[in-house]
Amino acid sequence: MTAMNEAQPEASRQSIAIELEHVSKSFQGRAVLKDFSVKVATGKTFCLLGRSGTGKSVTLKVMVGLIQPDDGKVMIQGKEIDHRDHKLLGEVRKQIGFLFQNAALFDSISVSENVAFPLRRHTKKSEAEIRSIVQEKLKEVELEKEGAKMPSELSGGMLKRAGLARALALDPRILLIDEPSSGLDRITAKEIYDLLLRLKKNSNVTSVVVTHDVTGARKFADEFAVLDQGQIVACGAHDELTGSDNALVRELIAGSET
Amino acid sequence: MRHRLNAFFGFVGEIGIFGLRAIRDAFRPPFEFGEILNQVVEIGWRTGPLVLISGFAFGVVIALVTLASMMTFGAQAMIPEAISLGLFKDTGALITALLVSGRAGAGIGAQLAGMRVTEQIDALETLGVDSFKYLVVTRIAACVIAIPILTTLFNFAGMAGGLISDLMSLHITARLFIAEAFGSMAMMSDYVLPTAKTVVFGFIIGTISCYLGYTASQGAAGVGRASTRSVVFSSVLVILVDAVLVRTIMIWYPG
Repeated sequence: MTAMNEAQPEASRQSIAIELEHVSKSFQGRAVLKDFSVKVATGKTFCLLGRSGTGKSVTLKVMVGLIQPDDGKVMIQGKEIDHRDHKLLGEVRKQIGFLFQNAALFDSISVSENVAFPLRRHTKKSEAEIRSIVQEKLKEVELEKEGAKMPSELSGGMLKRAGLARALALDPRILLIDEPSSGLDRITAKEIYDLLLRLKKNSNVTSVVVTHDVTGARKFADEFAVLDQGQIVACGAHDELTGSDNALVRELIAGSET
Repeated sequence: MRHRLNAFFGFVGEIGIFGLRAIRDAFRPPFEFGEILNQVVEIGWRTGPLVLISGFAFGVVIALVTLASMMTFGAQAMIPEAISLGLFKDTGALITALLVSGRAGAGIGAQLAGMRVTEQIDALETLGVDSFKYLVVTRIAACVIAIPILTTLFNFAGMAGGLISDLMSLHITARLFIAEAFGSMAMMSDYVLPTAKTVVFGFIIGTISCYLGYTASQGAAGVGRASTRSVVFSSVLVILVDAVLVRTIMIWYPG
């Protein structure tokens, strides 16, 4: 088990990609994360489940440094995130790809330009190289013909795939994915999950996925954790959790929408 | 009442800190020169035609109004000078700032608020980009750079409007109009300082619009509110600050 709420046996630092240690976060007096600890092993796909408002998306934003915890430590690839050190924060973020729930593509530029954006900012590649990488990433998400379109011209599923292509542009070691199937029909959601499965097979990327859709996530997730009231109440492989004593865990693992 | 006053001064303080942070970050690398240029072009593109048309129309109106009053005193010869002084000393700068506030300021407020509520600003941060420098500092700098240029455009468009109006209503040549208009103008107090003060207007419009957009919340309603408040707050503050700056220039350069 690589994720748990209590102190867990010491694993070697190199094999842990993400580690949250006793993290707490409150918003306007309401505790969202309470003494929350989790470790995600390198190359694994870790799935966070829970009812709405239990802090799943907040956990992802804490991992990427968008939200500063009130207490506790966040370690990415062995480096502690320090919100006062903007340079370090920037360097850490370059190793992380983040897919937002609504994709959050920049709406004033085309899909290709969105994918090219991080390459232009953080690499010294030539324009021809950037174009080639953009095309490769768009092909990976099956959007190679949509590059010239504006984000407003894409469907929900296409937006998610374009967001994924942008998140993958710098070949990140870690991928954080917030609700990959929300707002999508079953067929489109399946396409997204197939894409994530392909990605997992083709690369050694460590992923943390927030979702309600356990049935879809079973295809690619190595481990599941159930969040309730700011804490992990259960963690393990799908089969381990199906027999949990906790009714919420059983219900979520059974694949019920919350 | 006390609660409202506290909220007001809290709001003013936050905008002040926001503006000071922008000044500090503007001098720290990496410098976003390309994005500043994009924003200057964007503001110019959005506001330039409006400024030219408004300036021309304003010149015509001021010429007609001045003509009516001057004819009463038989002082038609002073009309070109009255138009140029009216435009260059203050009115041109103030009207241009209000136009920029209404067009570009509202646009900046709405655009940043839209980016905030759709998580595009968060997306920038996750891509390792300092969103404050990339979005806020560049837009404030662009406002500071663009407004003096737009003010100059407005003033000369106004002079063109005044010239055409006077050519049609007075027996005056273009050469004489220009000589009368600019002959007695003092370079520093009538042109340089009144145009330079628009840098302050640019900073006010940029800072308020960016603050309201960058800190927006509550979805589509928040976007609308950021846009409207950007125009209202920056326009009022520009007028108040203009009164102070005009008085300051008059103290430095009396007469």
